[in-house]
Amino acid sequence: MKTKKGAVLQSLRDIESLFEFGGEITPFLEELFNFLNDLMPILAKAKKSLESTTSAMPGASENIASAEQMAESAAHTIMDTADQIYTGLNDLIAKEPEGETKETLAVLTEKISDISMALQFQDITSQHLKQAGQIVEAIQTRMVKLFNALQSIGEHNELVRSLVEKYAEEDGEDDAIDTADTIRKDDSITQADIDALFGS
Amino acid sequence: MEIKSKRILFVEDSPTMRRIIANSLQRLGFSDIIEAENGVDALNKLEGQKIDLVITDWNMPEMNGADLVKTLRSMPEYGEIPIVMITTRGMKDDVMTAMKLGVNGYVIKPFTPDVLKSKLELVMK
Repeated sequence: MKTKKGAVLQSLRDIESLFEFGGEITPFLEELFNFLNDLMPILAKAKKSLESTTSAMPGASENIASAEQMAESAAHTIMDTADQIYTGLNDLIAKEPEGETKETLAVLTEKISDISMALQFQDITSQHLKQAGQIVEAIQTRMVKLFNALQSIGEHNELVRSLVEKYAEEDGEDDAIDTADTIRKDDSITQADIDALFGS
Repeated sequence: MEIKSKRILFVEDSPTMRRIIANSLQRLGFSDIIEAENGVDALNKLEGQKIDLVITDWNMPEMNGADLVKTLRSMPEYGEIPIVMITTRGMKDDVMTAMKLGVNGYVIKPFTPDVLKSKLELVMK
């Protein structure tokens, strides 16, 4: 009899502690629900943006590669000219007697050398662009994986699926980040084509 | 042996940087210069050559500078050759890694001819 009474008391204590736990956890669950409620539209928008930027990635990479080639070509043109001036100045220095003119020519030679050295920016910026591109691609890949994982959860959970679909329909289309202007498509035109268009 | 008569192999994938380094070395008085585009190209060009110093970039396709240094240090004939790394990698960890691999001098891009000169003189003492 005493044991039974003890067991009942124990059960009551367990229930009481459950209520206490529930009292503590309810605000947390409410916060979590509110957080998820806020997060869902953001995720839906991000998914739309992700889809559009993923398709634009190859074009963006080509644009970067094209910019690198142009910068490299320009750097070599500058270097060719700088080398010619450097050689010319050195020839003049060799012929010039000691004096102010010779000193001035020597200073100019150093300045020309500085111009050539400054062209290191081409390789440095090219490497930084490559690294930035790799980081963007890595983030893109991980985000795609995340959304695919969310989608697979949705396939097994009616509530999640309906929420994702609801927000995607409501907000995704209008608020997706428009990359059309920032990532230009391959619609370049040559000067010859422009001249032909203008009939000149 | 006069320092400027030493044979230098420099390894750099960027054509612009190759030209800048070649110009710098020539203007510093070095005339015996061999160029390579990456680590694999460098190892090919080292065959049958007597090289006194290697200058290498870090980020390169096919074989990067760190792997080149590792490979050179594992070869008996190049175990002690002076190596200077010229790179955009300016983090402390990078420098520490290079040191552990056996690099003797480390120059961060962009560099000046004076910095290059001082590093070359230091490692070829």
